[in-house]
Amino acid sequence: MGQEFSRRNFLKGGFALGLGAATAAAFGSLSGCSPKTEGAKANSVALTPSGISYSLHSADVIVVGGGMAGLNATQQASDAGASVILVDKGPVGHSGNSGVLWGQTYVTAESTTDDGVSGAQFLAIDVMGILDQDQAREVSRAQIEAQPRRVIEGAGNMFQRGDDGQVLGLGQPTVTVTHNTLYKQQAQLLVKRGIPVFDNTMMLDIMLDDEGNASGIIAINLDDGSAHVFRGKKVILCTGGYHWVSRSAGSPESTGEGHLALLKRGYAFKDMEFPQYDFSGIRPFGYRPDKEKDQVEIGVELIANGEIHHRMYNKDKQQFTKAFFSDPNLQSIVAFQGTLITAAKEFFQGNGTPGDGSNNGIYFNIENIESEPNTQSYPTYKGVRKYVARNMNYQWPDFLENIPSEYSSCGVPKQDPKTCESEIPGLYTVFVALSAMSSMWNWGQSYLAGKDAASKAKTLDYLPSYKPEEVDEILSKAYGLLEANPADGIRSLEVYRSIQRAFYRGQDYMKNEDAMKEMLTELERIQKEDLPKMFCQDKSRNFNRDWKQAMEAESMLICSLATVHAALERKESRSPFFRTDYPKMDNKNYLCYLWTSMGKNGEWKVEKGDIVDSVLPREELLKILDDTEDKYDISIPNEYI
Amino acid sequence: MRNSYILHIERYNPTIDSEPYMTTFKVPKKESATAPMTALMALHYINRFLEPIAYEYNCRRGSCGCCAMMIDGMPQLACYYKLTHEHTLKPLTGCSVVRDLVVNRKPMRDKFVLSSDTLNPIGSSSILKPISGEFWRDTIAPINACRECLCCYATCPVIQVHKKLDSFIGPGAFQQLYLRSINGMDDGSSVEKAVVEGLFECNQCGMCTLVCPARIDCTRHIRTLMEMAVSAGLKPASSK
Repeated sequence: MGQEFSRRNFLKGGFALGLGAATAAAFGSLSGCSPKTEGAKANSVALTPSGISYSLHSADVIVVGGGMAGLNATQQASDAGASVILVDKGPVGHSGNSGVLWGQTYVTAESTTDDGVSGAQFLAIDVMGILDQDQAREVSRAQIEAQPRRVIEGAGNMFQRGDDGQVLGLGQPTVTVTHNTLYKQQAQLLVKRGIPVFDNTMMLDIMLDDEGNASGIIAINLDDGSAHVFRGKKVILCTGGYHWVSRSAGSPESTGEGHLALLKRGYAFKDMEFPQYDFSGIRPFGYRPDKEKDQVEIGVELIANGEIHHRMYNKDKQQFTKAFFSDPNLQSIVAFQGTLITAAKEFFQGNGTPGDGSNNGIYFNIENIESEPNTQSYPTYKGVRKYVARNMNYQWPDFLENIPSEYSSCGVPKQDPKTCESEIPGLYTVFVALSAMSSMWNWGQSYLAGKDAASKAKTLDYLPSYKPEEVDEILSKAYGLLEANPADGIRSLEVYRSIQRAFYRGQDYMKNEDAMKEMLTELERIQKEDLPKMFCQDKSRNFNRDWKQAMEAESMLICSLATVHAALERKESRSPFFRTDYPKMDNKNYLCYLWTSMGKNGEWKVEKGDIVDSVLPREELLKILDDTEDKYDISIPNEYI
Repeated sequence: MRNSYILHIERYNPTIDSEPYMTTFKVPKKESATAPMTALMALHYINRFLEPIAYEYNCRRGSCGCCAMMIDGMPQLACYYKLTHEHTLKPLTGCSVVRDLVVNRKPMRDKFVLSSDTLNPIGSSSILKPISGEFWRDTIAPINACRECLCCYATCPVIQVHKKLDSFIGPGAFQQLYLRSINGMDDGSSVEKAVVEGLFECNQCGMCTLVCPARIDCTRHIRTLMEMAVSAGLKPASSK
């Protein structure tokens, strides 16, 4: 019977493609504004004025980044009929947070029926309460429109079922919290559609045409060191955050190239001062980052808003969270804040475990964890000790040390809330929003950006031009970093580590002005003294991590500078931004944006701006924050000051 | 107690070297009560303090699959391998080497792509089917945790000994087909596809289950697919 099934039949789904590449090639002939140096068609090879060879590719939409946002933006733009090229720094489906977060909590407002209002309100009282409510509403609307849950199950994922067999959170009005594996399925789908994916390819910079419209990006293939220019009518930056500079649960690929592209052109970012913390790894295991970053030890995940917060213990092995979490009226979002603040109080009193030397660790008691009920959404971490014992032949003790880690940085530029188009026309930015509901934001934002970029690309009948001399400058710099042999050189890996160490110094879980000023001084020193002396010990163009780190150093440094300048201006504490020199909440002064930007000569400016409060007005938000403070004691209390 | 680990590592830069060669490194032990030293940590140490070396990683906690390699002859995730004393690290079997321990996984990952369906949204979220919570936990959750690390491909005799990758979709991709066959929305095409992609080539040796870092019972799931194929009358006459 087997011969009745031909391979061809089963494969035919895969051949709808080629279309993307054909369409992409067709643009070449339409590009009236192309530079004279080469004919603009897909996969041609060109030379910069100084003779550096690069491959030239083109499509309607260029998506940069293959993490959660980038995969979705690519799919949405492709669904909307655009030809798309996806440029991914890591292996596609395994890079950025698509690699880290397989099996992620998925949050969606799609069950709501009030045109996004309740979804936006839900987001507005999320961890920090000052996110852009216009965009929160658009994100909710996008989910109502597209119903991502049915798409995800339709793609062959299966949301987590509770003990009653139903999808967890299915009946809840605003949010469902379940696990799924969307990202690998989505990556497979894009490859299957034949969308050109250039993975292991790192963006160096964006390109603009003569009128200042986005016209593509310049990139290096990290496997073989070849240079690539991707021309597009629209560009979507899904480069994630820059949290690899911190003690992060995220990906080593998150080093802020997208942020740098805008910061160095003078555009302002808000929320650069805010980290997003959790005592977490993502299931099924965990990790514990060491001071020296790459030396990551295996740890265990702690989930903030599951039913196991009572397992947090201080250095004397005293349980410190039980009183807080025994309140039956506790909301899950407040619980998330509460986890962080109760830990901060312990740290403030000197009760943190030694950890990596910062004394900002806790013990997580996993005694009898196997007998925890299965009602919440994280059943697998119950098996974590068993996994470690089986996979590593290693028996964990009951008390495990855990250090809070930044699961993401924040920082978004000014953008149209309906489309995510930035102040640079044709450049869309889907960076990480200031929210614990990152899956909701990033799905919604990438949906908005993908759709809008595709529909606007259709109305453009030419490819915007680019400047070969700028390509020359960027590529010369990149290859220069590889070839440099300065006297008294410092290996790029060590410069990279210095930036991370400076960041840890000033942006640890517990911050203060002195430490931040030390951080600033050290970053300025690195910028002036170390960056010019950076060299790669390994000179090969072939999978050279030294070179990659050399190319990443600038964006990590500039993003760190933006962070510390903004953080110095936030003179209060709240979860998860704690200052031991300003330990109280100050809700009135807190409710503003800090727009941080860099001038032409590297001078920094931090400007206050009003929050966007279209759904939940500032006065109401203030009342909620004040009530929360009264009820849950979210700031560090007087007796500890 | 010895105070260092000894690692023999295969090195190869195809743009420079005519053939792979072995290098040996001594790495100081660094363990704590709650954290063993892993092969990945040792690679970080070597790269930083001894000699630049090429290896891939992302999550550092066993969930992205990027650091799969051969350790002491078996496919392992370097981030989830506890060092004891002396070990040999080589690139993942069956893949072409990009450099040192970095391999080109694309030919095998394309097998997962081949198993993937086109997006076929169901009508409405409200009809998401109930599935026993226990079944989700014990069977579906582990498959969701598949990292596509390709350890199962590196050890599968159908692929590595009999060299049948062309006509055999492989243990990892079979897990995805199995997942689709049981999700309550499948019309039987997943089992058909499994048959066409070499289901009955599998000899149930059990190696894929043995090496899977997510502890997916790959062999049993493949056997279930075979049983479904037999009862649907899809077993090819040529297979045993």
